[in-house]
This record gives sequence, structure tokens and C-alpha cells, in this order.
Amino acid sequence: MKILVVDDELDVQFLFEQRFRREIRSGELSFAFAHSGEEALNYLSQHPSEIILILSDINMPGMSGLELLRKIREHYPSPPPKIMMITAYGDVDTFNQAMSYGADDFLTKPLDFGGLKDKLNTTVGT
Amino acid sequence: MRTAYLLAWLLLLEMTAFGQTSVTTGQWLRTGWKFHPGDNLAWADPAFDDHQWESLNPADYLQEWQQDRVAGSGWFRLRFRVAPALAGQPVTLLLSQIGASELYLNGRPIHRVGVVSAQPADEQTRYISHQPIHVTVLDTGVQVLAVRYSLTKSNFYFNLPIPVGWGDNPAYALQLEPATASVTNYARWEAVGAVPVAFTIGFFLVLAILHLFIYISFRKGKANLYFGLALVQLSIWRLIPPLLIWAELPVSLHYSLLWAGYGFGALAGTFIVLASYQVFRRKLDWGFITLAAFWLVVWATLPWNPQSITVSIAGTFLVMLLAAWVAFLSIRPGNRIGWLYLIGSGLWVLINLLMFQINPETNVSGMAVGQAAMDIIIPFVISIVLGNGYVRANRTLEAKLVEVEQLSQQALAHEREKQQLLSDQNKMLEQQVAVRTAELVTQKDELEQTLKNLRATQDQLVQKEKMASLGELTAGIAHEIQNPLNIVNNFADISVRLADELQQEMVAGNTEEVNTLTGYIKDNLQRVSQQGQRASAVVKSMVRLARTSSGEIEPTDLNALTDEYLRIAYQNLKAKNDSLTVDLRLHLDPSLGKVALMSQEMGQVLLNLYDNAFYAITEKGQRHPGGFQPQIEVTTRATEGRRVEIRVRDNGTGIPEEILPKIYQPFFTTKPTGQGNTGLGLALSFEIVTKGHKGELSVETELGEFTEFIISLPE
Repeated sequence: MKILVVDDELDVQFLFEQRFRREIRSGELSFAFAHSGEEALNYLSQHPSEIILILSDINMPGMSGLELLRKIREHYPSPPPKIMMITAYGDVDTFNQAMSYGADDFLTKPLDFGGLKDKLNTTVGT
Repeated sequence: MRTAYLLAWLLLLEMTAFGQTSVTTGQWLRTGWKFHPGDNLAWADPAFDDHQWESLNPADYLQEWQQDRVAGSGWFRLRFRVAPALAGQPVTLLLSQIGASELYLNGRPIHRVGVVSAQPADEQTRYISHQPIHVTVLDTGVQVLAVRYSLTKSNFYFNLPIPVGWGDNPAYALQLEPATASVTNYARWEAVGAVPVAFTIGFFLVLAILHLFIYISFRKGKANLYFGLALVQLSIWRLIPPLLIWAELPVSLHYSLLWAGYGFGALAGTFIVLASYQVFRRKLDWGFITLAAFWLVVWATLPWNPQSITVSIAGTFLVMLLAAWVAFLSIRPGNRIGWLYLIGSGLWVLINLLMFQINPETNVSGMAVGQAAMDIIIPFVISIVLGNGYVRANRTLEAKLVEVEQLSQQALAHEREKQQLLSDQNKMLEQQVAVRTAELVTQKDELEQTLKNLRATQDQLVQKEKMASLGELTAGIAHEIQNPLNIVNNFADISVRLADELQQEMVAGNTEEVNTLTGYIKDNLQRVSQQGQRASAVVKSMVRLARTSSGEIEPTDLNALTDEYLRIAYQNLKAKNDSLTVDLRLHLDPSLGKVALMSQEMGQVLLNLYDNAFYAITEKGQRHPGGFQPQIEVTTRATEGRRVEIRVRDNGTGIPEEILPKIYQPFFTTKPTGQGNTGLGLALSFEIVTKGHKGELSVETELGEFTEFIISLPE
């Protein structure tokens, strides 16, 4: 399964690559990385129907994660990818907004990779 | 009321006829007269034989004389004897005549009236009534009276019937009276009748003056005018006949004036009715018009009307009747004054009837008094009625006055009441005002309290806002620190796992994996170190931000400061990017003296602006590799209002409009994260310039063309 990670922090890529080294090597998971919302939209348009799950930071320069979420839900309705929002601030307003925009889940930083892995399994498994 | 009455009591009853028998006093020389027309002085001779002359009484109708007998002149002759008692005694002959005459006694002229002539131009007539002729010598023998007489047709006269046998008008009449006694009818009238007539006229005139004066004083009372005029007319009418008898005027003049006098009488009757109409507030009707017309006709035809006496009396009754009728119509409850009129009229009629019973010869005074009573009774009544009108008017006025006084008192009371009401209202208003004022004061207090509360709330809000900004700041800080910390944590966590794997691989002797894992761990540690430094830089910036106002203000050479920091910034740029050549332009205003400021903090601001400028031109240079000449221009100058200005202008990328409002927000940045970039540079600069130095920091920019930051400071 292919996961698109959207975060302006470049180091996030290394984190994901190292943390899911075995899963990547076994071909269980594959990752694509985008460092901004614009980049993410660009990638999605070039690789339609490839991504199953999107993990997106909310607080980014330029297009924010929530805006990205809204645009994806507008322009890529079929087949809709799962989208999980990640933020450093777990405030209720942001959560509600994300959910109203059509987020599937809401994660807080620092990422609990163990929990994330379980969620991936559940999400994809179902 | 007519002259008939006046004359009536001047005249005597028919006397007994006598031939040449003796006559005595108190007798008219009425019978035995002979007449011959023409004129011959020889006819005065007693010896003249007049047997051929016709018999004629000169006291007979004058009309007959003038129309049927002679036009011009003629002679009368009479033979008579006196009673023996009178012989040799002085006697008086009373003469009444209309015309001109000469009287001869026994051939001797003894009396002359006017000038006798058959020619009207020479003739001079007189109207004579009871003129005494004194004769002294008379014996018992035959006496001869001869009268030379003329009355030409040029004389105007008219024929009023005179009662009791003397004829309508005496051409020539003689009466024998004793010389000693004042026995003429005229004298008798003068003694008895003059006083009532004078009284009547005086009464009329006094009333006339009174009522005319009332009218002059009060023009609305037309009744007074009419009545006053009527009284004047009555006076004239009553005055004229005795005046004429006294004056012994020429015949034409006598009759003309008499006619005029009758005219005044008729007019008076009309005016009395007119006044009565006014008194009783009755509009002039056909009754009045008929009366006026009647009187006009009667008067105008008077000299030629054989029934003039009758119609005059009828007219007088008509006057009474109309006045009484008008008075009667006015009678109503509350105004019974009309009765007085009726009573007056009744009395007048009664007296009138009684007067017919009086013998004018034997009761001259009764006639005079009755006549006076008749004359004054109606004017008296009218005067009373008019006076009563005034009394009523006065009473009404008095009542009105009382009413007006009452009304004015009421008005006064009303006014007082109104004033009371007004003052009550004023009091009430004052109370209301007081209440309102109190309310207003309360409201003001409440408002003040509210204002205080609002201010407190505002302060609280400001405080909250501050707290919120602090919260935002804290959140920003947290985010800025949290991000590197997260990464540090994540990499540390992963590195622990990698170290475990490394141990396992070393035990397994899998050298290749060991090398890979060792490389990862090393990279991770480097990243941990980098992120640690990044967090550290954020904290340092924070500390500096918190310390913006801690510096000391001192006079500083702004030009030197500007120059120095530009060099530092340029060196920093060179250290990062040696390949970039920048056209630096420095315009320093030499007139700029020392400026009081915190030099270190202002240096930070300048450094930040320079850094931004260099970043902008570097960015633009990367987008346009060829043909772009980067340029930075720094200007200092003194401006109006004792301010100094520092402009930092670059020809770099410019600032997009949408992010322009955000540039002073803390942690807002367009630069990549890391590399010591905190997003606090402009925020810090804004704080230092505005709060630290009471200055202004502004920006002018055009996307892709230039950006110019302007620091404006008070000198």
C-alpha cells in the first residue's frame, strides 16, 4: 500500500524511512513524500488512484494541511483516499474542522509510530 | 290745530241786524252798507245821495268781492246812529280788513290803511285784524261812514272758511267798542291766549333744543333728530299767525307766510310720525308714506281747497292714529311705554272734542289753554318715551356695567385660577424636572459605573488580548521548539531501535548491515544535534525579544551605525554566498547629528532589514540567473518635524500583497525553516522601533521589483 506523507519538515522523510525500514524492504508499505500542500496536489494529479492513505501535517507554510484536505475531497472524489491529519496542537477546533472537511483520523505530534502502525493495519485491513 | 281755531276765538258771533237804529258798543257795524265800484272822492261827502247804490256788507266774502264785483277799487257807505249813552263819548272802532282803505266820518278822513289805488303798482295793501280807531265826537244824529277801498287781483290770498257768519275773509269790518276798556279781541287774546301760546312755543323750543342736543351728542338716535325738527316746525307753525296779526303785513306776504306756516305744521305732523316710527323701531311703511303724501297734497292745494279745514283735521287725526298704531304695535311684556302714546293720543282726542264745545268768544282762555294742552300733549308724550328709552338704555347700561364688572371679576378670578394652575403646573414641572434630573443623575451615575465597568472590561480585554498574544506567542514558541524537539525525540527513539538492531547484526556478524545501521545512527545523531541548535537559536531569539526595552538610550551617530551594520551584514552574506556581487549604495545625510537611541537594538533592526534585503536579492538572483544586477540602497536623512529616517531598499523579489499584513507577526516567515531562521526578525524589529524608540516602521514594495523598509525616528 502506498502512503503519501505531507510535511514541511524534511527530516520527517528519514523518520518514516527508518521507522518503516522493514515494511518498505518487504514491500508491505511504500512511501511518497511531499513538502508542501501544492507538492502533494501535484503528486496526486500525476499519480491518480495510486495513493491509498495520506498523512498530512496541518501547520505548513503556503497551503495548510486543512486546505489540502478540502481540495483533495473536492477534486479527487473517486476512489477517495484515506486522509489522516497530523498536528502539534490537538485543540478541539482544529479537530472539528478537520473532521468536517472529511478527515478520517487525527494524529498528534510527536508521532507515536507504534500506534500509527496499528492504525495503518486496521485502516488498510478494512 | 288749524288757524281756524286761532281765528275762531278772534271772531265773534253774528250780531243782530240793525238799520239806522242806534248801535252801541260791542256791536259790529254790519248791516246797512251801500257799495259802488269806481273811485270818486266826492263819495265821501255825507250829503251824497247813495240811494242808487246797491246794498252790500263789506264784511262778506272777499272772494265774491274780488271775483264777481270789482277788480280794483270801490266805495262803501253806511248811515247809522249811536245809542244816546254814547253820544259825545269817545269810542273805538275796531277795524279788520284785507286790502287798502281810507275811512271818512261825516266827510272827514279819520283813518287810512295802506295806499288805495286801482293800479296794482300804486296800491299798498295790509292784512289788518282789530286795529283800533279812536273817534271822539259822535252825536245821536245820523252819522255817515264812507270807505274808499281797493284790492286788486294782483294780491295773493286764499280763502279759509271763518266760522260764524263773518264771512270767509272780511274785506272791511268795523266793530264799535268803548274807548276806555281794553276790549279788542286781539287784546283779549293777547291777555289770555298769548301766555299759553308763548308757553307752548317755549315748551317746543326747550324740548327741541334738548332732543337736537341729544341727537348731536349721539347720532344714532335718529328719533331725537326727527322729533327735534318736528318741535322746531311746530314752534314756527304756532309762532307765525300771531306774528302776522301783529305785523300787519301786505296781503300777499301775509298769505304766503301763512301758507308757509301751515307747511311747517304739516311737516311737523309728518315728522312726529317719523319720530314715532323711530322710537318704536318700526320700519317706514305704506302708512307713513301715505301720510307724507297726503300732507304734501293737502298743503300744496291748501289755498284752493274749499275743504282744506276738514282735510287738515283729518290729517291731524291720521297723524295721531298712525303714531298710536305704531306705539300699540310696540307694546309687549317688558315694554309698555307704548301705552303712554295711546293714552296721550286718547287725551288729545278728548281735548279736541271738548274744544268743540267751547265758545271761542266767551271762553277765550279756555280755548287758549285747551289749545296749548293739545299742542304739547303729544310732544310731551314723545319726549317722555324718548327719555324713557334713555332711562332704559341707562338701566341696560348699568346692568351691562354690573355684568361687565362681574365678568371682569370672573375673568380676574379665571386669570388667578389660570395663574394658580400655571404655578401649580410650574411646580409640577419643577418636581418632574427634579425627578428627571435625579433620574438623569442616577442614569449618569449608572452610565459612569457602566463606563467604569466597560473600562475595566476593556482593560480586562486588553489584558486578555495580551494574554492571548502571549498565548499565541507561547504557542508559536512551543511550536518552534516542539518541532525540533519532536524530531529529536523521534530520531533518538529510532536510533535506540537502530542500536538494538546494530547489536543484533554485530552478533550475527552481518558487516554490511552493521555499516548501514551505523551510518543511519550517525546521520540521526547529526540531525538531533542540528535540531537541538535550532531550538537553542529560537530560545535565544526569544530572550532577545523579551529584552527589547532593556537597553539604554544614548546619543548615537546614526550614520556610523547604519554604515557599520551594513558592512557586517554584507560580510555575513559573503560568508554564505561568495559568488553574489551586490551594488551597495549608501546615501548618508551629513546634517544628521547624534540621535538618542539604543544602539545595540537599532543595530539588530538594521541587521535584520539588511539580511532580509540580501535574502530577497539572492532569491531573485536564483530565479533570474542572468542579467539581474542586485542592488541595495541605504539612505539616511533628516525629515520634517524633527525626525530622522533610514530607508533600506532592495531591488529583489518584493513582498506579495497577501502576506504583507502578516510580515510583522511573530514566527511568520517566508524563508525555509532551520538555518537559524526564527520568523521573529521583523516582529522584533517592529517592537524595537515602535515601542523602544517611539518610531515608525513602514514598508513600500512592488512584487518582483523592490522592497523598501523605512525607519522613522524622533530626533
